[in-house]
Amino acid sequence: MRLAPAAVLLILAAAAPAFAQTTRGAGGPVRAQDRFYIGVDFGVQSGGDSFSDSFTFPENAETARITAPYETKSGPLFGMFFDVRVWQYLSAGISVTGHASEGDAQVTGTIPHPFFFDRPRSFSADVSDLSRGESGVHLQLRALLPVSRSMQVSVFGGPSFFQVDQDLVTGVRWTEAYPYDSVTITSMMTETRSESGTGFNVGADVGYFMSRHFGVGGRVQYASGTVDLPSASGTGSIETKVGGLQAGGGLRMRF
Amino acid sequence: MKRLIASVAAAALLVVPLERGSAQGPSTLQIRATSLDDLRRWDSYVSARERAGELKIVRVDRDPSIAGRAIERLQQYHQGVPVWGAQVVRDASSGVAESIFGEISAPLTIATDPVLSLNDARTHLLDSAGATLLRQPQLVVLPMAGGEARLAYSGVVSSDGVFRVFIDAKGGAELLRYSEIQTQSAVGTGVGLNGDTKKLSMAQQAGQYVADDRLRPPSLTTYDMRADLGRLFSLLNGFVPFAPSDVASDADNVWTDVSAVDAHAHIGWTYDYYFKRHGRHGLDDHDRPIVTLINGVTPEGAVTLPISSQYSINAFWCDACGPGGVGTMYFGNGIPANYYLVSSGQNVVQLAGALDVAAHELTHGVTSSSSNLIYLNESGALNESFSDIMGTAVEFYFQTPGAGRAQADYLLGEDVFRAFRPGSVNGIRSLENPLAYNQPDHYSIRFTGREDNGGVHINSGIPNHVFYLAIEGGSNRTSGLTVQGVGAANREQIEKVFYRAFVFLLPANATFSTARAATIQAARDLYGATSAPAAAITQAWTAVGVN
Repeated sequence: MRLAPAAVLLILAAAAPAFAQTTRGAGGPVRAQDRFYIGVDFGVQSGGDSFSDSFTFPENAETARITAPYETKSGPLFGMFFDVRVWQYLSAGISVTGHASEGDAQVTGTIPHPFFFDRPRSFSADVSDLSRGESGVHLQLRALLPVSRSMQVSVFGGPSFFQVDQDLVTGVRWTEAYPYDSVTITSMMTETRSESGTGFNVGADVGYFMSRHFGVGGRVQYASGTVDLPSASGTGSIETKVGGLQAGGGLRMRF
Repeated sequence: MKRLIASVAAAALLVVPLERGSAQGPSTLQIRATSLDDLRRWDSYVSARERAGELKIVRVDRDPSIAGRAIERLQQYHQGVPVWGAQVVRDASSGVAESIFGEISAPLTIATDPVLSLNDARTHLLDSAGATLLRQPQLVVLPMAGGEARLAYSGVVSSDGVFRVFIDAKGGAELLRYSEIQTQSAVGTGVGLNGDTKKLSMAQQAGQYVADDRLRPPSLTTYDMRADLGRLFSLLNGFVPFAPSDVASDADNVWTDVSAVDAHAHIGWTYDYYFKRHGRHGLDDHDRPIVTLINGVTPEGAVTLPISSQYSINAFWCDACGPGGVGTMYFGNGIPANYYLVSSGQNVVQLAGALDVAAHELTHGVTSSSSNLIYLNESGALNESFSDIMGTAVEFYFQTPGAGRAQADYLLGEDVFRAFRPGSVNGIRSLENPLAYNQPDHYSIRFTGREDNGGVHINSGIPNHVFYLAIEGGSNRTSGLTVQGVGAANREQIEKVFYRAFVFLLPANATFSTARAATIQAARDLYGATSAPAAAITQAWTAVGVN
């Protein structure tokens, strides 16, 4: 995650000399002519954040305690943006991204003994295929750096709004047999918890146009925010970071 | 990928962040007619819904209490699909409502076309819930806890129990499950004689909790005689069968009857000890039902009723007692707090409150089903001794060693036979010092009279002391001979030796000498001829003068 701002700067550094060369070669500045800039990208989003959720429930006249740690994984990313030039090389726009990943969790907990107080049965069980989906809406102010008539580089940034749909473990099922000194977890109950939050985004986009209106391009964006998901406990919330380093490429259109 | 597409779709639709959209489901209408106006209003409302086909009468019963009335049960439907559990009950006289109660959903908007077919639902129910489908899936509208309603299939499956399971009629995800077993185990709590809160394995039945252990393998039931001596005698003699009302019961599963709490818990623990320590399945190793009777007489009744002390300051096992000769244990309730026994100077409280006493009695049942030591003379003393030994072993298994209440020691019944008169002591026997309780600790001073079946409760002090010496070591006070015990950390070895010998190796008419040979053999079988347990057992019998 900490590499993201550096990556953006690298792209900017690479773009600046190219802009200078193109300006010299063409004998004059490239003018911003197009009003709209649209793109559709496929790529990946980084993962790496971890968070944990705990909940309890009454069982055998005591309290069962369950803890589930989660880790966000990298996964496919889909994004599209729409910009409108507002003045010179400045434009305002909106982009949306969607990211999905699946993760695992090693759930641990204790289930009270049916016959005795203070003799909880401990367990550890793995649960897989926990889905996480992130939707982002990013408002962006963009500065266009026209390298040439066929290539344009832009940098952008602005506020982001996220929605997260995260599968959380909300219960466990187990089997036990006399004398009940251990439990065997047979399955986990999961529910998708959804919540929204805010953050920011910065990034850079490179477009190469084979024709007047159509081309291809790539973008690197760092979007970050936090979302307080409703805990499986039914009370309180758990904080999860959303976004991350997002990179992708796809189609570009200007007109 | 499905989640990705969903995320993209959600993102594409968002232009400003939306708060998490909680689908506002149907609110529940609680129909409660507490006045005539309420009754008319709700009856009118229900009738309107009935005419609209949203409520249908599914059952009509004759009111059993008031002649001329009919009790109508109406089920809520949404587009022909029943709404799970949503019903109205109307008690009507000649068609005029007299009372009306219900819980139904406000008008629903959910679509009722399932994505899954009935066959798909069967497959999902079997995949997610168990191996056997006991009741075919039914399409229902399921009101969820969060307020929304879901179109679901409901079925009853058998897998580690019988459960009603609801799956989403669109995707097949499980939405809800609960046990269909109407009588089921319920872990309750209760405070025992010593003020310790215990867990109790009870059953929930007909709106109350009964002392019927559904978690342990055997039938383990505690019956409350409720101070009805006649009932107690009839049951002990097998004149009448047990009635459901004989089972100890409690309204909220937080038990306050000390005898019920301790008898039920301690007998369960003793079963656990035998299973965990010795791999034994109860009385006969085949989970013979364990029947316990309590509360035959109150403490006050013990001094006012012309009855034998057998039912007040005693606990006993009777192998042939009970309906059908099932075998029963009984625990007395002691005497009033300001009374004491003239013979010992002790006050006596609920005998089930002593773990060693409970284990002692259950062990009599074990002996009856195994070596069946004749309850006379030396074999009878061995019978008593084995119960004392196992009673002590169970104490040490579940309680921390110490001299206080509910602590493990080598005294018998110290928690319930309490010193009252100055100079009196707690308990009725000591494995560590039999002489202190007027028991012989050496064969040379054994009781040879005819009382007490030839001294079964007297001469038990001798093998009792063998057990103590083999564990703790030390000297016999009469012979002065010293024993190298295996140590408290290895008490399990000596317990297993005595269990093997007394349950499997002894004949019914065993003598102390036979018991010596059998326990030494058991030690050799289990740990080797030159093992510490074998040496300790041998030394201990020699120290008490049994060769």
